[in-house]
Amino acid sequence: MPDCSYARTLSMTLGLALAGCVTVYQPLSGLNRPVALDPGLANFADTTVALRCVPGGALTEGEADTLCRKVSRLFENQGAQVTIESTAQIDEPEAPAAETERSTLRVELRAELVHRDAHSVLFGPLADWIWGYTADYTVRQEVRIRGADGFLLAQETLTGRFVQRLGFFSDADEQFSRDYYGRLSQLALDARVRQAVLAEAAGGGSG
Amino acid sequence: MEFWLYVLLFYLPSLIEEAHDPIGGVLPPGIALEDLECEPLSVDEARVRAPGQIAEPSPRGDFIERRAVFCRERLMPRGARPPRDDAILSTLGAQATELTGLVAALEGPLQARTWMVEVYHPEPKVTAKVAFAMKTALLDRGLAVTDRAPTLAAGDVEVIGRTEPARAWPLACTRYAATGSVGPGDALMGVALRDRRETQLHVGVCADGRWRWLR
Repeated sequence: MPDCSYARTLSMTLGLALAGCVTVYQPLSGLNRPVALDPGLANFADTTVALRCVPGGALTEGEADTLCRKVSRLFENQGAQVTIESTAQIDEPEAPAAETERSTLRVELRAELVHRDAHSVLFGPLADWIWGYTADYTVRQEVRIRGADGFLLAQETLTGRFVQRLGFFSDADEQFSRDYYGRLSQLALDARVRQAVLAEAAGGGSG
Repeated sequence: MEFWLYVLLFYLPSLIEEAHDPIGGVLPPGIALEDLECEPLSVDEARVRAPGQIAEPSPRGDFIERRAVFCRERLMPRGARPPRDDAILSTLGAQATELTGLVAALEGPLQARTWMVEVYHPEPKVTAKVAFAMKTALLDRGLAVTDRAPTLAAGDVEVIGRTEPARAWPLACTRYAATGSVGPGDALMGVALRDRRETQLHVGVCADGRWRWLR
């Protein structure tokens, strides 16, 4: 009969040695709302998206550029024609909408860090320097979608929490990407339908 | 021994808080993370939203940095119903308040009319729930509401059913007026899902044979 306690101790030691710092994701508000569209389809084939990621808050200029590139790929994959507006264009007056077949959505993204908890297992003034890490942070992103004329069509705040802890496996990236890109696509589609209805309303009553 | 007791007392409030944390707590709320709708709040706001849940600060200061996250469980777990229906039904109260607010804000003689409600949604069960919510919200706003539904002849239904939504509602409105289904003392609030992929409702009004989208 083999010695089970020896095997158990060995497996526990190996397990602890293989554990690492993993990130766990919790959708707080907005991110876990239902998504009715399939982001794999051409949902924006007749839409031009002007994208603006505003640095500041939780986003450095480099991170804002990266975010814009990723989101532009999201809309391009769904058939949209995407332009990324630089932050220098923020204060410029809105150009009047051109009467074209394609509808235009102006998507603006801003992010801020709501809360950050830095934990350390050591005490004293040098604790963070010796072994300190951010264990718990909450990020909020403000999404505003306007028409070509600047009219606000959709607005939502997406808030998510990320916790770093000891563990073996994390699919936080995949979960967050699924929620975030799905929700962003849904907001844009709702905005585009609302834009079409408002255009019909502006055309006056009929009948 | 005393030293460890002091350490335990020092960390006790944090440990209690950590125990109930939905992520990694030893006493989690027993609800899937995706079924919690949470909102980070300031401590003052949290005392108003959840009275008695957060201890009042001591007059001498409590020396604890507090933060609050206000969570409530979704009425139906995620995935229990189709996402589009879930999105509409989980925000139905707010949407009914918003859409009937647009109707109640209409000026002129429409306020004195008797209101009918017609809803278009691909799922009949959702249609019935939306119609009930809209009628209740109209009543709450002091408008006269009837359960009577406007009717069309079979030929009208066939033609209008094949027309795109942008033209179908104005066309139906014209026919309602012509047949007397929506009479001079009536008005119709039409609530519709315009695209099968969207998660919001639109509203329009039919009165005197004229259709107008409000949102």
